[in-house]
Formats: sequence, structure tokens, C-alpha cells
Amino acid sequence: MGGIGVPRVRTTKGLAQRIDLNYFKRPIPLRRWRFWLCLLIPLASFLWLGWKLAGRDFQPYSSGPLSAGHVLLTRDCTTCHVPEKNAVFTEHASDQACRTCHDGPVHQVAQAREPECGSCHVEHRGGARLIATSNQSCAQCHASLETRPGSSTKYFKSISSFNTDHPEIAVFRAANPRDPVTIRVNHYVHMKKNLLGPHGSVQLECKDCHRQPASRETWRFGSAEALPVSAPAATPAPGMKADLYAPDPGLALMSMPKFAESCSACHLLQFDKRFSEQVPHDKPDVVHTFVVKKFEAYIAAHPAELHEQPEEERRLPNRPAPPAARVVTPAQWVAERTKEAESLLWGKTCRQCHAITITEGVPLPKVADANYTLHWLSHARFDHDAHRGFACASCHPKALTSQDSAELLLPNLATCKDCHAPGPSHVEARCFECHAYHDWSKRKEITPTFVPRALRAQAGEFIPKPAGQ
Amino acid sequence: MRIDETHRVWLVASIVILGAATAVYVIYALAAPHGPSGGSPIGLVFGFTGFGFMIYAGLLGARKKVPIMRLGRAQAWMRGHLWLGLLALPLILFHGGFHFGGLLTSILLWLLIITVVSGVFGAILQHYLPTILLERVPMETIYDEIDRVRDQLRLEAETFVTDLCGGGVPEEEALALVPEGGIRAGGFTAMRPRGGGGVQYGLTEAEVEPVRAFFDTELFPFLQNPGAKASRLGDDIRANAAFTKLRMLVPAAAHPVIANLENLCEEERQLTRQARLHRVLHTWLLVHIPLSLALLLLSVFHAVIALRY
Repeated sequence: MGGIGVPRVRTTKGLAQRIDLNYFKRPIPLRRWRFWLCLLIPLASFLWLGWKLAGRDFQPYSSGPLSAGHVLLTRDCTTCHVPEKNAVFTEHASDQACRTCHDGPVHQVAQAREPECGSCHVEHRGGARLIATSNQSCAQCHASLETRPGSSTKYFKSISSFNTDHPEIAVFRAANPRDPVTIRVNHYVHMKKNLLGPHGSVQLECKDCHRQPASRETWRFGSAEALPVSAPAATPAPGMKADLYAPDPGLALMSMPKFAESCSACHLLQFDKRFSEQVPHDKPDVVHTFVVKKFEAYIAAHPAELHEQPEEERRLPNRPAPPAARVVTPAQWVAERTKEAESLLWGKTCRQCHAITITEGVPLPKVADANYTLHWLSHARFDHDAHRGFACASCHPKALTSQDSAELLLPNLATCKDCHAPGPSHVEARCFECHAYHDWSKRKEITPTFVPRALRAQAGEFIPKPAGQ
Repeated sequence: MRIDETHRVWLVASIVILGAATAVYVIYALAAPHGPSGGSPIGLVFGFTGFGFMIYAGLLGARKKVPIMRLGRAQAWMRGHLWLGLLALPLILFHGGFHFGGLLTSILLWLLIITVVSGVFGAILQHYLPTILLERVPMETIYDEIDRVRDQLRLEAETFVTDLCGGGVPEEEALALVPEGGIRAGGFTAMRPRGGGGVQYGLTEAEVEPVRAFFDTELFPFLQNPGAKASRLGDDIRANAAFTKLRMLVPAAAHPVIANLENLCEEERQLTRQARLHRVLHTWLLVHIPLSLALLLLSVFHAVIALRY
């Protein structure tokens, strides 16, 4: 027993002596891995770009997917990116390239400057519609509107967006906004419950009178008999402008209500008890001719009526005695009956809705122009079809109570702003929703140049040759 | 590098730059007709500034390759690398208007995100791990020399056991561990008396047999393969229990040798811990550096192509 062990002692010298001074020259795995990765990863990325470049595939350099309409041009960058004049290096997408397919007419002749296509229609943002331009695109001019030297503008000079400083709809800016229409329609009466219809009581709906031209639904209160004889159904009734009947072929605007489709079932145009037929809903001279012909035909078939007997049972007390029985000529009879019938028509039946002017010495009255306004928004467009899910009265509440046809039933800007506002719980409120920038009436036709098959092949799609080639 | 008070200037400068850039971006984004775009003048300023920061951050590697050149202090470069590299991400996001764009720009943005996130991860590791290393690995050595030190520990353990129990280390193995250029005595000055069979300790072979058995069955395998999870010597508590039990089996004269063996085991465990911490501390660089190089290369391509088209 008795050996003494010596404990281990750490000294600096001892620790230093354990180390191989050339240790740093030896490769270690971690450093070796780092070296190879630093070499291979950049090299791989370089080779990838070179490979794409060699295959003329410029897609990796694209700043984003093209819009849906331009997707065929995805692989052919040079369609839009063409060398610019006097440019040494850059090949930006130019307006000239856009105009190869799109002739975007000028906005206003007096506008101070014309922005580049790309400043409003931003590409490489994916499937978004290029037409969906930002408010700022419009505001870059309209926030502080300037015109070319020597020209002026009637428009508001400071509009930034719909929800900030957009002026009220033009028609409401008048001191006493009125509907200039001359047709008398009492909306309140027509929208009442239990209205007397052709076959009992009815509850009218807005669509019984107001519809878009493309609507194919059957009219509840229309009557083919009441069509004007002077023109086919698609043409306007007397005093109406042609475009009111067919403002557009689609569903955007409401066409003017037509008597034959909306009114004729209840508002009968009968003119004499002898006839079940009604006069046509037409110009006074047409109506007059119709009435005269009817009476002439009638008296020819019933000559006995030329011998007129006083109607005792219709004699009123304290009134002069009727003339004694008399015999009239057919022409006289027709003239008298026509006068009676027209007195009824011009004085009551037509006048119920139309503004009739009877002038002394003039045989036929003058029916005022309907003066119906179809385009209330003179600088904007509204699409009823886009709003088809909403009850008419939710935007036109006065239509249920108005008793004066001159009362303006158009919703004002505040009604639009209930839904069209910024924020997630509101719908789009950008300028392009209602306003078009380009004046498409000045559009010029372009010469088509692209071949779809070639574009698709360029885009990498395999296009089989057509049979027989 | 620890993120301490010496980074205050960089931190304040970074916050000021970020605040100013954010203010400019918000105003610009609200005013831009179609939202922010990398091709707009302000978008280009963001892009070039961010790219400049990325290049500066990347130059740290080049600076390390030429340590003798007077190009500023390495610490200043590292601080700039950290803070400007971090700022590059928001500036590039402002440049692209928080859109990923096309294929190349998406790859670039993802590379930047991964590079910055891995860099932040590395900076956090560099901040905390050295302290942990200092506390938990007081017997730390140079990482590259760990394997060599392990060989020496094994040899030392054999020497201890041979001294106590008899037998010897093969001469050629001992010579193999001597470095070129001179004979080194090893890390520990243990003026060990040479002799055999425990004679010098006054112990019989039977008395020291548990030590030999312990060495053969547990200690030597552990020193040869310290990463083996099956060995109880790899765990502080279980190792302590094993050595306590061993002490109870042998006379007190052998206890100093057992203490040395226990100390040796402790050093081995610390070397294992050091190796593990070192890998954690440096493995992220395998992601950070190669991807940042690819990022810089592709960014140059992107800049040229974007300016052209």
C-alpha cells in the first residue's frame, strides 16, 4: 500500500504542446463543403441563366406574368420590347408596340399631355385586367386639370377620386333638377297595390315597364294590337328619338317604355262605341286617317244610321231641345263622328299621358316630343345588368312615391357611394368603373399582323400541322 | 461576434435608415398610380441601395481573404456586414413593392430571404454560443485538433492504466503521436513514475484488476468512440456514478489514478460537446455563404436585364 498517483495538471505550455502547429493546413470537412458549395451553387445558377439564354427563353427575366389578353406573347418579349429611337441600351415596351394592335384614341383634344400607354396600363402583373387603371392614373391630370395653351375646359379642375372630391352627378348640380320628360306617369298610382288591371287587380313591378333592350321576357301588360301602324315594333313611337328604343343592344341601359309593351293592356285607345278596335298608338295624322277610314267603312255598311233620331232618353232637363230627326250625307256623318271621336282622343285618352297642344284653326293637335332622357350620365356609363341583383327601389326609392313625372328619380352620388367606396367591405370605386379614357368614337382600324399559330408555337406549344399540309 | 453596446451606433443608424426608407416607401406607395414598382425612380433607388448593402455585406468574405491590407478593422466590417446586410432585405422588399415578380426576381427574393434569415440565425448563434462554450467547455481546444487531442487522451489513459496495472503501450503507437519537428510531452505534466504492475502503488494485480477491467470494457471503447450513446461515460452523472463504484472496488492508493481517468473522461466529454457546438456554430455558413454568392451573381443579371427592358 502506499503508491502515490500524480494528478493531471493543465498548463499553458502543456496545452500548446498538444497542438500540431500546421493544423490549419489540413483540410477539414466543414471548410471543404463550404468551398465546394460556394463554387457549385453560383456556377449552377450561372449555367441555368446561360442555358435559358441560349434557348432564347427570356421567361426567367420577365418581371411577372402577362395579363390574360397578352398571354400568347409571353415568350416573345420583342413583340412589345422594341429598340427605341436614339436608345443605345434600353428596349422598353413602347406605345408604338401597343398601337400595333390597339389604336387607343386620344382622350380629349385639349388635354395638356398624353401619357404613355404603360403609365396607366401596367403589364406583368398577372391576370388583372389592363383596363383596371388606378385612380392616380386619372388624378395625375384631373387632380389639377390643365389644358393646352389657348384651350379651355368645361370640366371640374380638381378631382382626385370618386370618394374624395368627385362632383355630384351633373343633372343634380342644377338649381332645381327636373326630368324634362313630357309623358305624364304617376309612379305612385302605378305602384299601388290592387291596381285595376285588364283581368282584375294587379301589383305592378318596375320591370313591367322598364327593361333592357336585350331582355327576352314576355311583357305582362303588352298588346300586339297597339303597335304603331306607321312603323315596325323596333322603331320609336311618335315623338321619340330613335336611340331611345335601342340605346345599346345589351343589358346596360334601360330602354324607354313602349306603349305597346307596357301600357296597352290597361290603357285602351278606343274611340267609339261602335268599334271594339282601338286607334293605333301613332302620330295624330295616322290616327285621324285610321278613324276616318273606320267610320267610312262603317257607314257604308250601315246606311240606316244616316237617318238620325233624337235620343229622348239622353235629353237633359232645362237644356235646349235636340234638333228634330234629320238625314245627313255619309261624308257629313263621318265628319261629325270623327270630330266626336277625336275630341275624346285628343281631349282625354291621349292627353292622359301626352302633352297635347290644340291650336284653333289647325285640324290636328301637336303631340309634344317625349323628351325622354336615356343617358343621364353624360360623361360616364352605368350598367344596369351589373346591378341586376338589387331591387330597383333600393336605388330609386322615389319611384314608389313620386306623383310627378318631372320629378327626378335618378339616384344621386351618395347612393352610389353606399356601395362604391374604398375598403374591404365595399365594391370597386375606381374611376374606370364608370369613365372611359379613350374616345372610342375616334377609333381607327389597325392592320392585323399576328398569326395565332405562330404565337402559340413561339410560346412553346406544339402545334400539329393542319391536315393536307 | 457578440451584439453588445459597441453595436449601438450601427443599431441607431440602421433604425434611422429603415425609418426613413419606410417613410419614403409609404408616401411613394400611396402616390404611385399603380402601386410601387421596381422600375420607378424611387423603386430603382431602393433597388440600388439594397444591392449596394448586399455587395458591402458580401465584401466581408473578400476582406477576410486579405487580412493584412489596411481596409478598416475587421470588427467594423463585421458590424457593417450584420446591419447593412439586414437592411438589404427591407430595402429590396420596398424595391419590389412586396411583390415577387417573375421567376428570376422570385428566386432572388427567396435567396435574399434565406440568406438574411440564415445570417440572423448565425448572428444569434454567434452571440450566445461562445458564452455557452466558455461555460460548458472549459477544456476547449482548437476544433481542428480535437481528433488529435483525443488520440493523446487515449494514449494518456493507457499510460495511467499501465502504470497502475502493468502492461504497456506499443512503442510505435506512442511515436506516431509525436509531432514532426520535435517531441512534445503532451498536454498534462504528469510526472508519472514508470514501472509495472502496481508495484509502485503497493497493490497486487488482483487489487487493480477492476481498474483494468473497467478500462478494457468501458473507458477505452468510450475514448475510441466518444459519440457512442450506449456508453455511460458519455453522460456526466452516469460517469460519476461509474467512477464512484470503481473507487469502491479498489484500494485508496489507486484512487488518484482513477481521479485522473475520470478527469480524462470529463475532457473527452467536453471535446465532444465542443465539436457539437462548433458544428452548430458554423454549419449555417454552408447555407449563408453559397446562397449569398449566388444572390449577388443573379442580382447583377437582374439589374442589367431590368434596366434594359
